[in-house]
Amino acid sequence: MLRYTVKRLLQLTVALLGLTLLLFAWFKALPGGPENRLLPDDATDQQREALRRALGLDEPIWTQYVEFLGRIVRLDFGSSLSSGRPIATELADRLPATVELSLFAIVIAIGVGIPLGYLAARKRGSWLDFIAVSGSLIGICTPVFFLAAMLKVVFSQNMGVFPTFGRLTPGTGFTEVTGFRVLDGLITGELDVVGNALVHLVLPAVALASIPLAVITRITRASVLEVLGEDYVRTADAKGLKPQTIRARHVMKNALLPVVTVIGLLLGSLFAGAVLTESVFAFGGVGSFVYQATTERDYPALLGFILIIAVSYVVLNLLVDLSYGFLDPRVRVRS
Amino acid sequence: MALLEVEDLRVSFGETRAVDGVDFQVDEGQVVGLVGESGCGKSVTSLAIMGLLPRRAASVAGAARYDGVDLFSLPRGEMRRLRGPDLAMVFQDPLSSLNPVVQIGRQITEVLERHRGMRGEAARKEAVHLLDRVGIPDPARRLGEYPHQLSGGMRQRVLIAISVACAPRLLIADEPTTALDVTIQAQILELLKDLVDSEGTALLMITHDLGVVAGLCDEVNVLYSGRVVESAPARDLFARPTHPYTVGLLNSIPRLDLPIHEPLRPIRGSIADVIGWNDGCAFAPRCDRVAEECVAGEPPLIGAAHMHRCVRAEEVA
Amino acid sequence: MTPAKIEKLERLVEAGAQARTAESGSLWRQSFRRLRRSPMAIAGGAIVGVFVLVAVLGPWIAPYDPTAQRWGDEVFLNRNVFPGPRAENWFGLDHLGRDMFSRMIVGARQTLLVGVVATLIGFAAGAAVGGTAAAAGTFGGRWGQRIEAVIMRAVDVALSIPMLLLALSVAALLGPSLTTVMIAVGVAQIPIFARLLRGSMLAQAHSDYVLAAISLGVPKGRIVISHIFPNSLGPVIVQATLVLATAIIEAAALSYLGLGNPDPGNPEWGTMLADAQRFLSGAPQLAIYPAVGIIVTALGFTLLGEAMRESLDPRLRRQG
Repeated sequence: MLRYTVKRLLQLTVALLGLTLLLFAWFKALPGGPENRLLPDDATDQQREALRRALGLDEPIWTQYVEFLGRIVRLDFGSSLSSGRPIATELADRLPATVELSLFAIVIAIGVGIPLGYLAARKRGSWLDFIAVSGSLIGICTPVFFLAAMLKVVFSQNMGVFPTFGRLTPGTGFTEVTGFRVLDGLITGELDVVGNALVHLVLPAVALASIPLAVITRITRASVLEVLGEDYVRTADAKGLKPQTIRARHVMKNALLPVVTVIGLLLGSLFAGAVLTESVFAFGGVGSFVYQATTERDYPALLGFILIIAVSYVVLNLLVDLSYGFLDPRVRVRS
Repeated sequence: MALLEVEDLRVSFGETRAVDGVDFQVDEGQVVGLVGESGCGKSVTSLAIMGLLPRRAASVAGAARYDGVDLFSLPRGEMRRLRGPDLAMVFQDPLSSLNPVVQIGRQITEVLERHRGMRGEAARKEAVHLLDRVGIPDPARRLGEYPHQLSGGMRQRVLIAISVACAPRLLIADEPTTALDVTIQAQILELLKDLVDSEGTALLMITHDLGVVAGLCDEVNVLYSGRVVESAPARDLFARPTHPYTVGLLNSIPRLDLPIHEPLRPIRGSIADVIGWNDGCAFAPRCDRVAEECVAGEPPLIGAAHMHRCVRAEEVA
Repeated sequence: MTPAKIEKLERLVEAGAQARTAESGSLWRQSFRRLRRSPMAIAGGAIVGVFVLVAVLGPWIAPYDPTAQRWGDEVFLNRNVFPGPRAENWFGLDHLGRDMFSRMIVGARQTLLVGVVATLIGFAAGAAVGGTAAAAGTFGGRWGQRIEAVIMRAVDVALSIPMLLLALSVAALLGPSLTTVMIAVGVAQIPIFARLLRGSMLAQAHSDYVLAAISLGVPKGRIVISHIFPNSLGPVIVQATLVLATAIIEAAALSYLGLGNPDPGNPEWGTMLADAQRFLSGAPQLAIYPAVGIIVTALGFTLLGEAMRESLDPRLRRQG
C-alpha cells in the first residue's frame, strides 16, 4: 500500500510538472504577450525592448520557465486586471464559495444517483427504470448554464420560492470563520445564517448536480446490472442470506467500484460547471471570477485558476485512487 | 419417502426448452448422479431445485418435493430459510463464485450468523474449524485473505466449507471439479465423498464425466436434450448400458484395458443436432442404430429399477 | 430405415437448425441487425437524420432570410415586447426582429459543422497520438515502450485539465470565433480518443490472430496498418458519435462565455442560446427554441452512440 502511494505521488509530481510546462508554453504563445499590455499602443521599439529586458523576457527560455515555476510555487500570479488585487488573494477569498457549492452538488448527485441507479437496475424495464435512463440522458444533453438560467426564471423570478442571486440575502449579518457559510453558521450558532445560506444553495447546486447526477445514475445502473449477473451473487443467494445482506455486502460493495472511479473523473467537469452556474446566480465564487476573467481576457487570472483546478483535480483523483485501493483488495496486492 | 422428488420438471427460457420433463429422486443419504453433455439441462435442473433461476427470464413448471413439500410453491422467504441448513450448493467456477472484495472468513461466518445464530468469536472459531475440515492448511490465517490470494483447489474447498457450514441434508454439486486441474479433481471428489459419508448428507452430483459418477454415485440419471434417457443404479448402468446415448458416452471414454490400437468411438454430430421429443427420440439424428420407430412419436420411459427411453432397447442389447 | 424416414429426420433437424442460425452471421452484420431492432437506435437515427437533412437543406427551406431584421419595428427591448408565434413567424421574432423559425433552420448547419469539425479534429489527432503510442509500445522494443509511456503520461496530464478549461485556453490563444470553438472543443477531445484507441489497439495486438501474423513473418508495420488499426476502430467510432453530442453542448457553453461566433450573419444554435440569456425573464422562448434544438440533437447522437456501443459489446449481448 505504501509503495503504491509513493508511486502514485511520484506520477502526480511528474504530471503536474508537465502541466506547468504546458501552461508556460500556453502563456508564452498568448497573443500580444505580457509586454504589450503594459505599454501604450504608440510605444517605440526601444521602449518595447527596454521593458522586455526589465521583465526578463530576453533571457533564455529555460531561465524564464524556472522563474515561471518559482512564481507558481510562491502562488504569485500577478494582479487581476479587473480588481487590481493579487490573483492569489482573489482566488483564496472566493474558493470557499465554490467548494461549498460543489460539495452540495456532489452530495446531491451521489445521494440521489446511487439509489436511483440501483433501483433502476433492480427494476429493469419498469417505468422507474425508463424515467431514470431517459432522465439521465436528457440531463447529460442539457447545457448547464441553460438549466441554471431556467431554474432561476421559474423558481426565483416567477414563483419566488428561492432567491435569485448571491450566497446570503444582502444585509444579513454573519461571522466569517472558514468562509463556508453553512459551516460558519453552525460553528457560531447563527442558525438563521445556515438556513439563509442553504436556501441560496438549492438552485445552483441542483443545476450543477445535473450532469454528475445523470452520469452517476447511469454508471450505477450499468454496474449493478453487471454485478447482479455475477456468480458470487448467485452463491450469496444459495447461502439463503437475507436480501439486505446480499444487497449491501455482495452487490453494492462490488458495484460501487466503478462508480468511485467515475466520481473522481467527474470532479473536473464539476469545477467547469461551477464557472457557468455561478455566473448565472452571481454566486461570488471562483467561477464568477473566472467568467469575468474570460470575458475580459484576464490571462494571468485564468492561469491561476487553471493551476488551482488542475492541482485539486489531480490530488482528489489521487485520493479516489487510494480509496479504490482500499475498497478493492485486488488492486492492493497487485501494487 | 424420498428426500427430494423431482417430478415432470420443465424449464424454458422464452421459446427454448432447457428442461423438458425430468423425473428423478434422491433418498436420504444417497449419492445420485445427473450426467450429460453441456446443454442437456443438468445445471438448469439444479438451479431450478434451488430456486436460483432468474425469475424474469425462466419459467419453471412441474414439482420438486423436498421432504414432501413442493419447493416451487414455497414463499421466497421460506425458500431462503431452507437454503443453507437444508439445501446447499457447490458451484462450478470457484473463482467467480466467491465475492472478490469480501474476506474468506466473512463469506463463511455470514452463513453461520444467518442460519446458526453464531456471532463474533464463536462464528470465527467455527469458520476455522470448517476450513480445517475441508483440508485447508493454516485456516486461521486464511480467514483474512481474499479469494484471489488462493489457488483454484483452495477456493473450491472454501466453497465446499461454505456449503456444508450448516450441515445440509441435501448437497447439490454442479460440476465441482470441471474448472480444476486433474490432480486436484480427485482430491476434491475424495473430500466430498468423505463429507457426505460422515454426515449422512445426500448428494446430487451434476457432471459430464462418467468417471466421476463411477467412483461416487449410488444412482445415475443420464440426461439428453432436457430429459432423462436412462436411470439405474450405478453398478447396473455401467454393466448394462441400455440407451444408445449412454453406450456412446461410455465408448468415448479412453480406457487402459482395451487393445492399444482400438480407436475411440465418439458420438457423431453435436448436441445441436436434435429433434423435438414430441416427434421422436431427440438422440435419433446422432444414433448409429436409428430405425423407423425412433421417429414415430414420443418414446416412453420403460422399466422399473433400470429405466430407459429407447424403443429399440431389445435390439440394441 | 426407408429413405422417406431419413428425409423426415433430416427435415426435423434442419428446422431446428434454421431457428438457431437466424442469430448467426458476421460480427458486424449481427451488430447491425441488432441495431435495427433497437428502439434506442431507431429514435437516435431518426433525430440525427432529420437534423442532418435540415442542416443540408436549411437555406432552401427557410421561409425568410435569417439575418433580415424585417420586423424590427415590432420588437421593443425595453418594454419586453417580443412577438411570439404567429401565422407568418411560426417561432416568433428574436430581439432584432428576425424570424426565429428561419434562424433555427439555417442555424442547424453551423451547429452540425461545429460538432462534426470538432469531433474530426479530436478523432484525427487523438487517433494519431494513441495509434503511435500503441504501435510504439507493441512493436518498438524497449525504446518504443518508453515513448509510449511518455505519450500516455502526457495524455493523462491533458486529461486532468477539465475540458472546458482546455477549451478556454485554446480560445484565449485564437480569439473569439466559431473556428476557435471548433478547435477548442476538438483539442479537448484528443486525450479521450488517444486513450480509447490505444486501449483498443493493445487489446487487438495481444489477440491470437496478430500472434499468428507475426509468426508468419508479416512485416510489423503492415500488421499495425492493415489489421490492428482497422479492427480497433469500433469503439472509437462509437465514441465519436457520443463526442458529437458533447461537442455541440460544449460549443454552446463556450458561446455563452463569449468565445463563440461574433458574426450575427451566420446563425448558430449555441450563439443564439447565449444571446438569448439577456432576455430570459422577458422572452424565455428565445432561449428555449435553440436549447431544445441542442438538447434533442445531442440526445439523438447520444442514443445512436449508446445503441451502437451496446450492439458491439459482446458482454452486453449475452444478457440481451
